[in-house]
Amino acid sequence: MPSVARVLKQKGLGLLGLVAAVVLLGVALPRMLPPFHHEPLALGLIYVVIALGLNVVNGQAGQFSIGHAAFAGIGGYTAGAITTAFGPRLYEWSDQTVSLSGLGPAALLCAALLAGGLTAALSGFLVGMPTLRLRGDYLAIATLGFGEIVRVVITNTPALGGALGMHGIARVASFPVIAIAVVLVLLLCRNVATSVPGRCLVAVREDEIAAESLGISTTRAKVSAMTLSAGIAGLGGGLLAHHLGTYNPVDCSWIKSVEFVLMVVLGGSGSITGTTVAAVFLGMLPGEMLMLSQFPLLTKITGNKMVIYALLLIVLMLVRRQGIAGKWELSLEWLRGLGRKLAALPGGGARG
Amino acid sequence: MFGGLAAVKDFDLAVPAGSIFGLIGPNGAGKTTVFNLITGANPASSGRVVFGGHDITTEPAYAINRLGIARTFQNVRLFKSISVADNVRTAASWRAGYGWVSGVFQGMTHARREADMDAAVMALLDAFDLADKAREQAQSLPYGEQRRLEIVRALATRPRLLLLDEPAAGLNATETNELMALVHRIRDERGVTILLIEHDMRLVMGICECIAVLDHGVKISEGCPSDVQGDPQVIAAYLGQQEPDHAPS
Repeated sequence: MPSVARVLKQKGLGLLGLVAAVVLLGVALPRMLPPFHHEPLALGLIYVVIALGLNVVNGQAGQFSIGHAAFAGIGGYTAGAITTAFGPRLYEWSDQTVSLSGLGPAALLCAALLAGGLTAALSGFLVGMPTLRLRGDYLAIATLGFGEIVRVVITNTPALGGALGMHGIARVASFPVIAIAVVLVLLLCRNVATSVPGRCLVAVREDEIAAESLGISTTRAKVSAMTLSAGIAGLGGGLLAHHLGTYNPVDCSWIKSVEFVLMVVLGGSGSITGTTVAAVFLGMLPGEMLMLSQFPLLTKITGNKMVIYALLLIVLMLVRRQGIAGKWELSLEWLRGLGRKLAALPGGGARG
Repeated sequence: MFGGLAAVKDFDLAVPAGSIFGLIGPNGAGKTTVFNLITGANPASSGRVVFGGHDITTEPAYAINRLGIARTFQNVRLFKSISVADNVRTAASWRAGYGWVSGVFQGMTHARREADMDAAVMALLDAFDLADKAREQAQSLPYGEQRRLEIVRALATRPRLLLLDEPAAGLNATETNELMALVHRIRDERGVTILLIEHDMRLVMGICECIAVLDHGVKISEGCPSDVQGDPQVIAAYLGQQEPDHAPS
């Protein structure tokens, strides 16, 4: 039986760790990196949020969705519309010069991001409800269609900016904001994975018939996973909108969704650690490739990220089919084990 | 009904509480279909399934488990890529007593319930000699232990009725003996009623108190092992009948 004091101590230490992670990601890391890496890093971190969302339904519950760019888009457009509508009226928000100083603007941004997440979660629920009752790949077909519907509807709605996209969204999602979101979503995913709901999702992925025979409502588990997953993606979309200041209907298309699928598959389906690493890597790749264009011989490859993606995927399938991390997770337990191993190395202690 | 084919018809079976009941019959007789009808994996197109006074015919499979019926599968269906302990822990999910909210916030309730569940899971693994393999991946276990783990996993839902679908398939003679002792233990120590399908006659005749024989979806015999063994209809179903008219001359 765990005592209240011990649990409180654990939670306190955990909270300290979270704050440290936010400071490291949101303040220290950008200061250490040269400015031309900032944009790719910010994108990479936002993609972590969306990819972690996809990982819930695709990696943990084993249901294939090719519509997560659309869920992110729904979140982005919703959050963007809210801050654009209320920001200038309530605070001194204009197109580009916005500060988050003061509780009011920060609360508005939070509310907008949350609303974006909830709208995306609702659409995830509505898409998942009819299709997840069935076993098989119906979800993939439904989400593929759903994503294209979202793209076409937005393209043809002048109020949302039409094909030109939504512009003039306040660019308030700076590094600290992104860092807080990433750390909270990481915590959320980790908590889900280490408790009963997450175990039910894994059971569904491993064997639906067995899961059902053990008292797990597989439909409920799958629909919950889809709702949560779309909600997290929507939150990521909101961050993206407020980081770039604009959202394009093209970014809701299935091609964009495939990029997120690639992050999950490359990192290791179901692994939070792997998905995070792969999302940072693939998110930073296009921006970092631009920098290679200064070298004469490499000018040609800079615009062709899809070629690199394809090559990566082929190599991965040949060399390591389970993804970079497989099912492995970075944990305190693992770090302790590593520490013990290092200490046991001959001469390891003396060198340190 | 499978596209017009009735796999089991006019079948009735009453399993007394606390018994070890055998369901036998030639291949394709419909034994597994009976299990699927009981557990809701294939809902019955007609007829009724009653468990402890409840009509469970139209209940979904997960609800039937929650009412107290657990099963194993003919082809072992473990959660292969997760650990032995997590297989059992997953089965204890719906009894854990918390859901999404506690799971996400992980406060005191979560800590207590998880600790309780861990203790229960380890006790169960310990009782069935799997404790030292708790952290291993389920698919890395030898076949016999995978079968045992599947039974333990079913027990983690604390059923009143346990359905075993060919528990001895693929086991050698020693393992079959251990299995027989195990089945007895589960009934005696935990008071779980057992209904099993099996082709291994030594096991069936050895531990079942009552046996029903199924052939082409119809029950052809029922009774204690010695009665069933002597039933001419049963012998005919297994070995075929002599047809005097077409006897080779």
